[in-house]
Order: sequence, then structure tokens, then C-alpha cells
Amino acid sequence: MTARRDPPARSTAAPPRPAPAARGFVAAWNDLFFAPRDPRLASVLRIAYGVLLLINLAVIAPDVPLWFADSGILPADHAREIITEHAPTVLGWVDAAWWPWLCFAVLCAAAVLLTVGWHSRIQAIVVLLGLTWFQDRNYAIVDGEDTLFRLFAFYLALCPAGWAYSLDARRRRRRGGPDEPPVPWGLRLFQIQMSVIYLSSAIEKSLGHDWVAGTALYYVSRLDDAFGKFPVPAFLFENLTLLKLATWAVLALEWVLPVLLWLRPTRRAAIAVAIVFHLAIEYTMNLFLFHWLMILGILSFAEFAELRWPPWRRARDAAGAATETPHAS
Amino acid sequence: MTGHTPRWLVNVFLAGFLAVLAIDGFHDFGWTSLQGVVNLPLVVTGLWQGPWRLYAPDVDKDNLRFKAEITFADQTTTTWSSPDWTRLSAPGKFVRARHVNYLNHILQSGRELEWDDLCAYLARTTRHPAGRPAPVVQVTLFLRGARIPPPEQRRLPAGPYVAFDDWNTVHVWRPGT
Repeated sequence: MTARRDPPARSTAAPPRPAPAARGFVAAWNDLFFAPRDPRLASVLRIAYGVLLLINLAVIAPDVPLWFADSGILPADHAREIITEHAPTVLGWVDAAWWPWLCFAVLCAAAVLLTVGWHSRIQAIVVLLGLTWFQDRNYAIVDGEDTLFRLFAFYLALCPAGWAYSLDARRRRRRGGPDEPPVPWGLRLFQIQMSVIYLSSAIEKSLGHDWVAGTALYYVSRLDDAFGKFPVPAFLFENLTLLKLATWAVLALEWVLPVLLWLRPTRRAAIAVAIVFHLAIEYTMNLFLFHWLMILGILSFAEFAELRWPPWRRARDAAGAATETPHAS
Repeated sequence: MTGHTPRWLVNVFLAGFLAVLAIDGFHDFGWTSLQGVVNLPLVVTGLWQGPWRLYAPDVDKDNLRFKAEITFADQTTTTWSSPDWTRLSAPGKFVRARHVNYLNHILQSGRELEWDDLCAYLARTTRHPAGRPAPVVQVTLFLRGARIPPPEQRRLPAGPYVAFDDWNTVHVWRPGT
């Protein structure tokens, strides 16, 4: 049953103002996405992302024919059977040995140009398309970090990633372009993405048995391909009580990080804990670049001034920021 | 200020994208029909992600090894083996990350087609041990596993569990099949 409402009275005066709750939502939305924020953080993320992407491509390079050519391990027509038919790829367009290499060269060039910030937005889109097409060509070698590489390229395309530390910034200064910093609302998408990852993973883990029972890390630490990167004290992985506590700690962390990273009083501590968490996994497990990408995503919760090193420069920057708007370096 | 893009357009994009992100990232909320709607545009644009499992809901409990016996026309045989991960250094595992993914994928999918592709690739690229020009007439794939016992059943020392079973034949490939 719906309540019948009287038609709104016509008025020639000012348009009706939204209800207080709606005003609160609009204000919160605007504050979240459009409040001024130093766009140089997006440039730092762009460079870090570019470096990780180039490492990824360098590792793949010797195996381009193996993974992506018809003479390799997965012919193009068979590759289509392990992924949805709509997944786009140009890798199967030309049946020639040089074609995957040409596509790979274009992707590498875009990665380099993104890293140095030459038409950053366009390069980020080319990287997104290139990664998508390569991943769709051979889905058998793809995992979570490849998804992160794609999504982060998209978010960088939405950020003013070339605002600082880039050839774009140099060109802008030469042309006397605007010095008013853009609002980097795309950075919020990095943050929301990170929250989605933790929350989605926490839900998935909580629906299973191993994480709730506390035995997940017992099994993980006995896997021969993923675990055992660097030496760790044996007693940590032989004591079932410690393993259970560590398992539950991981699960708890994935539940609470999506909240603590957003709250002003806990944000810095949550960033620190998350970075230590990912470094610890990076130390013990062989997960290629996944945890470095996660750390990159976590840094989107920091402010640019907090990333300055050494720390005593931050106080000086803060004093300077009080008197001037952020500018390109 | 949002650059050259009108604020209202950014807001429309954000509202739509965040809704799609939630639908795609969380599969356990019963919105299957909505996932069907957003899936195609996400796949085409390369923006799909799906739920983030990260060793969930349960951890794999098997360490596995592949071996292929390649038989040439003169009945000479040679063997290819998947890497022994416990013997590889950290950098060695790092550069073979895609190989780990590939082997895990074909083991989990269990598709004959992909095993055929692996066998065909081995047949094309494996050299005769004596350098003779004899073609490959058969590739036989073997698999063995080491299933990690539950901690309540048996307490294991730290480190990879490598008490492998015997080899099992999982696939036989011949040229033209």
C-alpha cells in the first residue's frame, strides 16, 4: 500500500531544498569525493604502479611466445574456451609469430610512458586495454594481481596522475597552464577498491571451514609452491595454537581494515598495520607482485605529506602548505 | 573543481560505478540477476573482478607434481617434469610465477583439451635425447599428489609437505588425436 501524496505546490520561488537527511548525504558525498586533496599522491601511485607493471612485463617477456603465441602452450581457439566468449583480445587477430611481440611492445611502451607521465591518462587507458587483451588471451596464467593491475590502471586514468613528477607537469608549466590543483576524486576509487577486496575476502573466508576453524595457515604453510620464500622460525608453524591465533588474526584484520582505514582516529595506525601485514606475507609467501600492489593500494589512504621522507621534512611541508596551495613539483 | 568534466557527470559515473563494483565484488548477497546484467560490460571493458577469494573459502590441501613421458618413433623416451618448488630459490619462484598459475589452472580445471595442448607443446619442443629426427608418437602425463593431513590427525613439522603418492597416469596423447 502506498500513501497518496498531494501534488507539490507550484512555486515561483527558489526550488525546494532537499530534506535534511538528503542534504547530509549530499554533503558527505561531496566531502568524500570533491574535498580538496593534494593530487601529488596520485602521481606517486602512478610511478609506483608503473615500476611494478614494468617488473611484471619484464618477467613475462621471455615467455611471450610460450603463453601468447599459437606456437605456445595454448592455441588461441582453445584459449577462448576457458574464458567467456565476450572477453576481448586482439592477440588472436593475426596468426604470425611477430604479432604477440608487437602487442607486447605497445604495452611495454605504454607502461614506460605512464611511469614517466607522458599523456598519463591516455597511457593508463592503453595499459588497461593491453593488460585486458593479454589476460583474455591466456586466462590460465592469470591471478588476483592481474585483476589489480587492470583495475588500478583504470583508477589512474580517472586520477590527475600526471599532475606532478611527470612530463605532463613539465609541459603544463612550459605552456603556462593552470596551477590550480585538480580534485583527485579518482583516488577515492583506489580506497573503495581496497575496502572491497578486504571485505569480499573476509566474507568468502568466513563462509568456509578452514579460516573459521583456525587451520587455514596450517595448510597454507605446508604448500610447496606458495609458501617458504625466506627462512621463518619453525616453532611458529608447528604450534597449532599459534597458527590458529594467526589465522583468526588475518580474518579479523580483513573484517576491520575496511572500517579502520576510513576513520580519522585509526587511519594512520590501520595503514601501518596493513603494510606490515602485507610485508609479512610477502616475506613468507611467493605471490609475485600481489602484496606490493596491495601496499600501493593502501597508500591511497595516506595523504601526500605523510609520505615525505625523511619525516622531519613533513613538518616543514606542513608549514609551507598552510600558506600555499599544492603545486606541481 | 573536477577538471573539464562537469560535476554532475562525475557524480552519475561514480554512483553507477560504485553500484557495479558492489554487485561484482560481492557474490554472496543473492543478486545473481544483477550480476548477469553487469557482467558483459565489465568483461568487455576489462573491469571485472568477481569475489576476492585469496585462499578462501578453504585452502588447497594438495601439493602436486606433473610428469610427462615423451615417446619418439624409435621408442626412445625422455621425461619432462614440473618444477620441484621446494628446490627453487625465491627469485626462481618469482620468475616462474606464471608457471605456477598455469600448472594450478590445468590441474584444477581438469580439462582434457588443456592437457592435450600441454602434450602437443611438449611434443613440438622436446628434442630427441640422441638428436635423431624421430617424431614424437606419444606423450603420457602422470600426476602425483601429497595431501596435507589435518592437524588433528597428524602433527607435521614446519615446511612443505612432500610425502607424495605414487605416479598416476592422467592423460595419454598421440599426434592427430
